[in-house]
Parts: sequence; C-alpha cells; structure tokens
Amino acid sequence: MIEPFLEVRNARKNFGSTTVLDGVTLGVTRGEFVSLLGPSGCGKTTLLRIIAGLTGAEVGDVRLDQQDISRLPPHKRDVGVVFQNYALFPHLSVLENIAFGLRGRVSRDEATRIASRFLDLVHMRDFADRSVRALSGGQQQRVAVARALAVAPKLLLLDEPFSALDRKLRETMQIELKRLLRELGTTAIFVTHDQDEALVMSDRIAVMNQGRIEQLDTPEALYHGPATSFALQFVGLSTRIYGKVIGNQDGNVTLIETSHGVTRAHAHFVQGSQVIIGIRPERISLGARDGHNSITPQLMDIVFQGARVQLHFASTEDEPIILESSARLPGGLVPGQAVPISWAPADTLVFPRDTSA
Amino acid sequence: MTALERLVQICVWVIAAIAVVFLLTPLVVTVAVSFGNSAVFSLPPPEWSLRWYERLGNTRGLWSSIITSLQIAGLSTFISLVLGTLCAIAIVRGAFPGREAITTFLVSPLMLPGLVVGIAMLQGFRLVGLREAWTSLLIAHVVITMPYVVRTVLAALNLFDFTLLDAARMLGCSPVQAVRRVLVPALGPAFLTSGMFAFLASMDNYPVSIFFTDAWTKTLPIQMLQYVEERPDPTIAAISAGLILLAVIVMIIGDRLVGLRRLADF
Amino acid sequence: MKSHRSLVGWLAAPAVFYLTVVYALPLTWLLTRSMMGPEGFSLQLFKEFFADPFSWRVIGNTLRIAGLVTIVCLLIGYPVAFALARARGVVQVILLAAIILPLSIGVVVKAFAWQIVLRRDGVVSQFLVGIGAWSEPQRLLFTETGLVVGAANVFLPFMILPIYSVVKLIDPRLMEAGATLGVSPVSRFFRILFPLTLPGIVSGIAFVFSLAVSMFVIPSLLIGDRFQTLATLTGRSFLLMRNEALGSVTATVLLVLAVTIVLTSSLLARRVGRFT
Repeated sequence: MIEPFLEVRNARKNFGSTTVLDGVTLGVTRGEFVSLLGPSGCGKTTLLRIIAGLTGAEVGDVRLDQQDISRLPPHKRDVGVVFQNYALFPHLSVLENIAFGLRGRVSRDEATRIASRFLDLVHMRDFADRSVRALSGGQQQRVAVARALAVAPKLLLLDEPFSALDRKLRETMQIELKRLLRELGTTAIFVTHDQDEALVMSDRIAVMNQGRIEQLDTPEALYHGPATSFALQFVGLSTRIYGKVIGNQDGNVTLIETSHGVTRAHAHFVQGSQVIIGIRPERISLGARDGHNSITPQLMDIVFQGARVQLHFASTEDEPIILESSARLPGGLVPGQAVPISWAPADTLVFPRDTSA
Repeated sequence: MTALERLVQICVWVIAAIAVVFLLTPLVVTVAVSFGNSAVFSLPPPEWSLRWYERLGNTRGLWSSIITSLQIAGLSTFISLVLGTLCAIAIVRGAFPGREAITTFLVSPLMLPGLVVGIAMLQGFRLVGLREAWTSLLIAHVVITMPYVVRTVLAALNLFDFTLLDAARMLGCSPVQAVRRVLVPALGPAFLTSGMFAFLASMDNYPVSIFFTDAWTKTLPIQMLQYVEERPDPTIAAISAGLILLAVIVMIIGDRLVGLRRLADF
Repeated sequence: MKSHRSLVGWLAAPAVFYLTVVYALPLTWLLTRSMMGPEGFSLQLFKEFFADPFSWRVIGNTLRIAGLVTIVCLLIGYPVAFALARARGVVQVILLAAIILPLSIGVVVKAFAWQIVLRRDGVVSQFLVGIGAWSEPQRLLFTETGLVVGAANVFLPFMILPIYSVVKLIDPRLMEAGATLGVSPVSRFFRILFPLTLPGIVSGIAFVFSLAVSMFVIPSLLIGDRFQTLATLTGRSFLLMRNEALGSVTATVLLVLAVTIVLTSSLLARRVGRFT
C-alpha cells in the first residue's frame, strides 16, 4: 500500500491536565484538500500546529512525502501556514512580504520575479509597494496566501483564514483559493468551524470533537451517512428524536418507539437500547405514505428561503422537526394545524444515545 | 525549539538575573551599611546596630530639608496636575493649530539638561528681582513636574472614548456632572501614576534645585549631598534607607491601585 | 458644541503661558546672553572656549562617557526587555520591581551607594578578587570605569522600558510565520524581530544618551574634580568659580548638544517607525 503523502500517526497532546488531542491519526493524499471541521476546543488548530512543528506533541509521528518530520523544527519542514490573523510583517511592503521566504533560496532578481508572479495570481499587482497596514482584511489574506505559496511548500496549512471576512468576500476567497491550489497542485489542510465552508471546498472532511476525529469522509458521504450523532448534528441540518429500540421486523428493520409513535429504520441495535434518530430535512415529505414512517405533528413555522421552504413542526425534543422542500407548497397550510408528514425507513439515521452525557 | 534558540533563551534569562542584582545593588548596600556599626563604610559590617538611625533625630537640618522637599513636591505636583490636565484636555479636544508643537514644548524640560534649565531660570528670576529661595524653588519645580503630568494624562486622554460623555448626557447628566462621573474616574490611573512620578522627580531633583537654595531653604537631595561632602558617615545611609522604604511603600500602593505593569508604561 | 471646540483650546493657556514665562524665555535669555559681547552680537566667548584644548577634552569626556554608558545600557537592557516581555507571575513581579523601584529613588541615594560599592575595600573589589579576576583589591572609585558602571546602573531602566513597551506589542505569530516560510532562527531575529524593535532602541538610546550627557550628581560623587564633563564644568562655573561667563558658554554648548540629540532621535524614530 502506498504511504499517504501526509501522515499523522497517533498524535497526543496535553495542556496541563486537559487532553487536547487524544491519539489522532490522519492520512492525506498528494494534491488533496482536507478540512478539519469542528467546534472551538476540539483540537483542530492544535493538530495543525503539530503538523507545522509550531507545537510539539507528547506522542505521535508526522510523516511528509516519505520522510519523518516529527523532530524537525518548523523552518525545515517545507510546510506553509496561513494564519487566522494573517501575521503579515508590518515593517515590509506587500511585495517584500511575499518574497520573504525566497531570500537565500534564489537570487534577488529571481525572488522579485517569483513574488511578482504570485502577486498577480492573487490579483494584488497594484499593491506591490504598499504598506500592509493599509490593506483591508481580504487583501491581507490574499497577501498571506501568496506569501505562503511563493516558497512552493509541499503542504499548505490554513487556520480559519476567512473567519474574519464577511460572507460575500469569504465566498470569493474560497473559490480563488481552490483555483490557486488546483493550479499549483498543492496539498492543503484547512481548519474551520464553518460546515458550509468545509462542504464547499473539501475533497474530504475530518469532523473533530474533543480531541478525536469522529469521521473522515467525502462531503457527500459525510452528509448522507454521518457516523456519529455529533457528525449528524455538526454537518447539515437534521431533525433529532430520541427513542428506544423495541424490536426487529423482517431481519433488517428495527422498530423504535418515540414520543411520536413507532419508527422503522434499517439498523441493527440491541433490543432496549436508547438511540437518537436523525432525518435530513429534504428527505421528509408532506403527506402520509405506505411503507414510510408517518407522523402528524403540529406545524409551528413556515420559513421561506427563496429557492427552498422550511416547515418547522413541534417536537417533544428541544429542537423542531424540520422539513425542507424546493417545490411550491400546497395552499392552505397554516401554523397551528396538525399536518401529516412522512419519510422512508432507509433515510432514518440511527445512533446510540449516550445517556450518561 | 532548536538548540541555538534554547541557548539564547538561557543567556537572556541569565542576563536578566544579573541585571536584577545590578539594579538592586545600591539599595541593598545602602540598607546594609545603615544597619552597620562602623563609621567607615565597610561591608559586611562588623556589627549590626541602629546607631545611625538614632542619630537621625540629632542631625542638623535634616528635618527642615525633608519638610521643605515635601512641601515643594506636593504643591508643585498639585499645580502641575491642574494646569497639565487642563492643557491635555485642550490638546485632545481643541481644534487650534500647533497642538503637537505645544505638546513637545510642555514635555521638553524632561529632555533638556536640568542644570541648564536651572541656570536659565536662576538668571531669569534674578532679572525680575525674585531672590526668595522657597518661592523660586516652587516655581522651578512646577516646570520639572509638568512634563510627567502632560505626557501621561495626554496618553490616557487619547485612549478615552469621548462618546461616553455624550452617553452620560443622554442619561441625564449635565456637562459638568458627566465630566466628573465619567472622565475623572477614567483618568484616575493616569493622575495617580503621573502624580507619583512627578512627586518623586521633584523630591529627587538636584540640578535645578541647587541654584535656588540659601542657608535656610534646602531640599533633601541638596542637604544629603552636603552631608556627603562635609561629614560622610553612615547617617546618610540611614536617611537613604528611609527613602528606600518610602519608595517601596509608594510602589506597593501604586501596584494595589493600578498594577505594576501600568506603572511601567513609559 | 461648535463654540465648545474653539473655547476648549483656551484651557491650554495657563500651562503654556507659565512655561513660556518661567522656562522658555529664561532659556532664550541664557542663549542670547552667551552670544552677546560689550558691543552687541559677538561669539567671542565661544571662540575663546573652542580655542582652549581643555574645552575639547571636556567635550570629549562628556561624549565618551555618555557613549560608553549608552552602549552598556543597550547591551544589558535589550535582552532584559525581552525577558520582561516574556516573564509571567512571580518572575515578572521581580523584574518589574527591580526596574521601577530604583526609578523611585533619588540619584543622590544611588550615587552615594555606588561610592561605597566602588571603593578599594568595597563589594565589587572583594568579589573580583574572590573569583580571581583581580590579583589584589583595586579602587574603582574616581575612575572612568567606575563612573560608567554607576551611571549605567542609574540609567538602565530608561533603556529597558522603551524597548519593552515596543517588544510587548510584537505579535508572536510573526516569528512563527517566518519559521513556516523556511527562515532559520538567526535570520528570523535579524529580519523580523530586530527591525520591529528599532523604534524602542532609538527611543532608549536617545533617553540614556541625553541623560548621560547632562548628568551632574553622579560624576561629582563618583569621579571627582580632576575629570570634568560639560555638566560638571557648568555647575562648577556657577557654584564654585563664580565664572558666569564660562558657565553660560558651557551651558549653551550643553543645551545645543541636548537639543541635537532630541531632534536627531525624533527624526530617526520617524524613519524607523515608517511601517510600524
């Protein structure tokens, strides 16, 4: 089996008595774009810093391009970093910032030539001699990306680079970054807490929680087949209902009793287990159907979102049951009514419920 | 961290430790000598005793010089706080030209040799017939303390958000009340640190004060230097130790009120 | 509110008026008087002063000692500023106290203490003999070395604090960024950290050098009358020798020197602070 381009093996990191990384293993292939997705405190930035060599791990190896880089200082690893706050050198101009890592590697003229090329690639040609302090957030971030890529690193790490930008700018930058990385063939690992960003940009996503990778998969696989209830909840919207397994039917269909009635799902759980049921909003339809799980909850809200409509129904849990449809709704739907809805057993996602939490 | 980085870090901390010892040496030595028994300054002292402290009561001119210094320092600091704050407000809120020049002008006494300033003022006072020592000292010390107040209060005012005063007015305060209840407390730390440093600068000052003394009016540093020249014995160390104690107390109070790190904001 | 803005400017009047009358005018008077002879404008006194080789020795002494003191303060103060910026907890308190406490104590107290320390039988002597650096006890008092040591001790905080105030503002991510760009630790220091500390260094050098040029009490106590600087000569002229003519000239030279230092440093500071 070919060794992955980047491999992190069993990385463990403690800060005092807190375990920030609990034995994380990750493999990334050459040219791939992988996101580390998770809430604050899940360890994604720490993992990034360990790969970069800016923080040391108590246990674990990092291998890049067939080489063990675990003991190497950051400046010898050939790994580039784009920081969340850009970290541009305030005493240097834009062009000097981009050329910074090239000094000593190539001649001065060559450095200027390469830096200018990257300046063009990020559309900042007119800003070459400006001070970086006069730049807007988006402009600074482009310079930061150009600076990191100018030295042609084997791997580029990005730590929530777009979190300080407004939505429109963020979307533009996401497209530009992917285009640039594809053009250069650079492998990238991208840290974010924004699932939309991860879904849009990544070849694969690593969902992290409390120092562990809960699931590492393509965006589609992650969305349609979340491996844990955390992944279900963190990626995409879903309806969540608690239930208990009461029996099996025809071998592969499980019966689960919830406060809304009995639900059927394709899953294997021991009788009596406490479970969480999840359903994606676009998999629920209006109206009852044979062979589907049907319930009749009370309609609370109609949320019109332009291309889609969301219907929110009352649930015994804290969160509403959400139905999403891109078709036009039938008239006569009024909040307060009891409306029949249904979904297929195959779309019923089931996860063990940790009742100790 | 590479080995080189680790080595540099160790060197930095070693130098820091040496610097701490270096900086505290005069203080430690002074206190040690003041508790010694010998009339010659030998270290370590052959015996410990309080005899130099007992002598303090009999030392001619000591208490009058202390009182003179305290009076001058207190009054000049107060005057500077008032005039300097008014001026700082004018600089920050006013719209007249030359504000930066005025700031530099007001802070300049700090940058110029005290001796030269003292001489100039002496000749100036003499020209208008002012020969009275105490008044001359006071007038001169306002010049010495003003820069400390202006610099610190100006920095604090530059950081102050004046829309807070508008907010206070909207909540029912009159302009004067707003200033009293919002601006003055915000400036509290600045008043404290600048007042402290101004007071100490005045207490410590020699080069300006030396020109404004007479037989009856001496500030403490001038009196102490006279002792050193006339009759050098550890009594002077005892006085110094007293001043060190005062400085420690002031520093502790300053730390409790605004924090040591704020005091270090140069 | 419109009238408010133009009126508030008048609050500056008392302070400005006071300083002009009490401080600026006398200084100008001092300057003009040193340039006036019996028949009006004359630089006669200055010609005499600069023709005398003794004057040049005095100027040389002043600049040499001030330069040495500044260099010593810079060499010690630069690392200490970094230590202070990185220190936490008890260590930070100790460092801060060691810097601020001496600032709160008069120069007379400190100079006097160094008199004790630098004597032939003083602590420094005993220490150096003890570690074998000296073969016999020597006197550091009334030597230039002793003067530099004592003055550096008094002025060290004025080098540390300006550099510290700049260092603590430097974003630690900048050095990390440099590392991820493949730049070695030594290069990182010279290309990132050092340039960003330059404003603090300029400020510290300006402070210490001008303080050292003007110092009066310290040389009086630590080196005695055989060694004259511009400041001690000025003091003696007025206080002891009653030679006000000479005093005015040396005072003017000293003043011009101090103003030059201030102007040069603010010019340098502006150039160095271009991007920061």
